[in-house]
Amino acid sequence: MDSSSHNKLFDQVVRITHVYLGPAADRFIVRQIQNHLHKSPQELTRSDLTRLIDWIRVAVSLLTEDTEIIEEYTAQLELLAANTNHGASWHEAK
Amino acid sequence: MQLRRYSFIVSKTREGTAFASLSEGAKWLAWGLPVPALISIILNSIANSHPGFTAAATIISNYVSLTVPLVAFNFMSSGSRSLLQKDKLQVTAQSAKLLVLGFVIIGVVFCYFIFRNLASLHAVSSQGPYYLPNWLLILTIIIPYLYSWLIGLLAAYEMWLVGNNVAGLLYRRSLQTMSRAIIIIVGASIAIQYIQSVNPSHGRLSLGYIVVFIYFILLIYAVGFILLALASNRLKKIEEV
Repeated sequence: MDSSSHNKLFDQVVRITHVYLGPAADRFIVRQIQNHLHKSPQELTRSDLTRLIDWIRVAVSLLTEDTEIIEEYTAQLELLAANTNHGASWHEAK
Repeated sequence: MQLRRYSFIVSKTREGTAFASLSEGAKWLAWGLPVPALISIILNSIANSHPGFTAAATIISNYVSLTVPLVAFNFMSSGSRSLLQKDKLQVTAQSAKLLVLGFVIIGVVFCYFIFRNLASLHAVSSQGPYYLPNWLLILTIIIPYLYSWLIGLLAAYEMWLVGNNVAGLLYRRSLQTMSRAIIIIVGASIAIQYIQSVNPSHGRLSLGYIVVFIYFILLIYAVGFILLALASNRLKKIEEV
């Protein structure tokens, strides 16, 4: 999915997902964005992250019953969302 | 069938060709049991009514049985190698030595049984059980079988390496199951070919014991295919949710 690789936020989400889904990470995130947010990966913004994380949680729950993995994965994404929002607020305040 | 569906889903990805090869290899192994058996039954029934056809029936059956592992393990080997290269993994020198040692043991014991069989049957019959001169038997049956088993074992080992080292916790779990399934299928397939080509009914083991043993291996073979379907289904789910 080269077309989506220039979106930094998308890349960060894929990087976290890679730890859990390996080579399928990129395709998995593209599907979640397109099917549930009805956007292209290039259009992913920080305001979409909360909804995306919810959908990712649902999707990963279908793949594994291991709640520890699900919690760990979504916690990583929530941390990314928090950092992104914090960064954005800091820029806005400036 | 599940692996085929999965390989179709990922056909346009980096791993697409690797899974397509693995799927093709698994297909050959799955059909490799009933088809040669059916051909052998048909040829033997013709040979029963036309005794002059017995030699041809045996030769054709042997070559058909040989074709299956040659083609199947070639596909599996190219699939596993492709996955290994994509993950930048390598077979270590120590593992290669162990693999070669295992293969040498299998090969030498195989040759021992074949030649013991030839020697004992030559004493009571003017023709060998394979209806082939020894040099042709070595060149066109023994060497190709040994070659196919070596690449089969290598493919199984490479899949084990990929399954244990690929990135992605959930992806790795599915690939680990797939690699175990492939190890079981390759091992059971080699065991079945081993018994069939060695023709041990003339050896010390009784026919009843061998039939039970073959059924046991077939059971393991089936377990391997069930595991393969489960792993493929899990991988397919990752690409669908």
